[in-house]
Amino acid sequence: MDLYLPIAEMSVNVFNILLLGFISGSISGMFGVGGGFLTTPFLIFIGIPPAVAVASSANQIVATSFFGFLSHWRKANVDFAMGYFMTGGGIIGSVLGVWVFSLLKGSGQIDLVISVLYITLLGSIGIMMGLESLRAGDDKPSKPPLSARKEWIKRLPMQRVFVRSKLEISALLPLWVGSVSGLVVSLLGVGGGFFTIPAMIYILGMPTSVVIGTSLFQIIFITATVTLLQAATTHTVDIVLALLLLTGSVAGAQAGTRIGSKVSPIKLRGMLALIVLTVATKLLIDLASTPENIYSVTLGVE
Amino acid sequence: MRNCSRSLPCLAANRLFLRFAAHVLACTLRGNARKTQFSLTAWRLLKQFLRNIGVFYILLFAVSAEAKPLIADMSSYRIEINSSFTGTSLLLFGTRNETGDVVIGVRGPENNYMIRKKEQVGGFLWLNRRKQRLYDVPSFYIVASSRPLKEMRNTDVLKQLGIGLPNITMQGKEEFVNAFLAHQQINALYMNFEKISFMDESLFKLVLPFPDNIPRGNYTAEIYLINDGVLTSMQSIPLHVERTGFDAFIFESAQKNGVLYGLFAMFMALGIGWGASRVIHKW
Repeated sequence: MDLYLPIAEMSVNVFNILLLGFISGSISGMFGVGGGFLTTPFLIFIGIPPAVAVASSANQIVATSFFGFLSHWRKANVDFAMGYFMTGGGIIGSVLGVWVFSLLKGSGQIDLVISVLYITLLGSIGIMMGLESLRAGDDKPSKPPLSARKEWIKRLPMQRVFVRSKLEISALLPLWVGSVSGLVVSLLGVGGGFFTIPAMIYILGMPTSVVIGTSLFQIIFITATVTLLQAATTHTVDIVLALLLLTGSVAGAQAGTRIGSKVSPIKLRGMLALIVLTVATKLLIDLASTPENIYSVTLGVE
Repeated sequence: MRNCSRSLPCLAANRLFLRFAAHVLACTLRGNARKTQFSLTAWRLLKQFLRNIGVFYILLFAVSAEAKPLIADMSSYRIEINSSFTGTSLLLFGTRNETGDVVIGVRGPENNYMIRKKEQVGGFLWLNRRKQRLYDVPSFYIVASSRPLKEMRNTDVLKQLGIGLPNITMQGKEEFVNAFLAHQQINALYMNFEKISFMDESLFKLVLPFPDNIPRGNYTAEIYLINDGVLTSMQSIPLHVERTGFDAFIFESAQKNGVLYGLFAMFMALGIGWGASRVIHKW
């Protein structure tokens, strides 16, 4: 069944989009990432204008992450205090990211910087997590997190207790993690979760059970802001596309959360590491291999 | 420019005929006016009116009595885009009453485009390095001809009229222009049909395919009759591509009330997330 999308200005197969939503939703429910890293490139691949793909998948993730967040909230697996600080940092990071973006755009090397940054970030996180999950075996306590190992981190101001995470750390840490993720999101459009999840585990030292719910909590705010901003400025949110995607992804998120609760956290981390490494490798291959078409055409001259 | 050909002799004949008819009309009317005494102004008005009608009919008669060298029409002048739109096709048909090649050009609204070229950097990275802007280029273009344009004897007229893919005016480096032409053809936005089907020597028809990704706006279908490198007749038919119904509503809302639309999109997503959670977990 085909449906014409009013903003993307083309027709798509309804079942393909529902399936895409389902897959990205289940990954989101399992790992606490947004899933935009999967939907956005696929939408672009089937011919949807990139700006519409980014904005509409942000709108989809609002629903998926809210749905996932509610499931985790029922099990009290959300650290709200941590979430607030990370959201605050996320806003600072996004504003910073927009500024950096315009700076890089002026220098004319934005593609190179973004690609190299993204690959380095994803590559190192993936390798670190992969090694960690291999070494740790079945749920054995791994190395203590960065926040417990470094003396200077312990001496940072704004120390406070995060009850749900059973941590006493500086509030600057979640603020910093949030701002880096905000920076990544505004530079790349996607991929904030890839940074926050490992950072919450390895830098802040949060228990894995709380990480996913808290990450989803923060993602709701970021994607809701992106949806609003894009709708107000670029008019690229396709509500019909988003509705199709989120119908699939809410169902997927339910399946993902179920699977996620049955798999041991360390295996879950290993799987996420695999996904992150796959994405990084694919980006590297895309950059290094001879492109099929060296010319690309976009509407508009900006 | 509707049927501009043969205009001179045609017009001259018309003018004579017209003067004569006007004279006859005026005489009769003057006679009538003498008989009735009341309201001379009413008569003047009626006179004016009758004269106009007379001129119209005479003109119509003079034009249609003579066979036009080229007559064409389309099955519809409007394409409506709604939720079930997956592309459509229109039938363009017509007749030629003189020898010559029939050439059809259908143009969509003009747009600006950016073409980027990837180049290898540092021996292994492929990055967008060079770009070219193209201004006011038709977003859609179909060209069709009764025989391949290359085989036509004198192609200067094609260049002058901008007919055919290579003759679209684009200010840019050749490699970028060619890349753009290839891109548009891959996406079925530029098409070149070398054969218009003829039912006999004069009757022709062409199915115009419009894919699902056609831009909205005003299109024109132009039909030319070219004889030995000389344009002998031309006809232009307008075509509108527009949204209707639900899709028009959504598009208008997104464009005109962006903030409200964004808020709606956001709350829709939150509402569905919450609703699904209630259904599944029953709380």
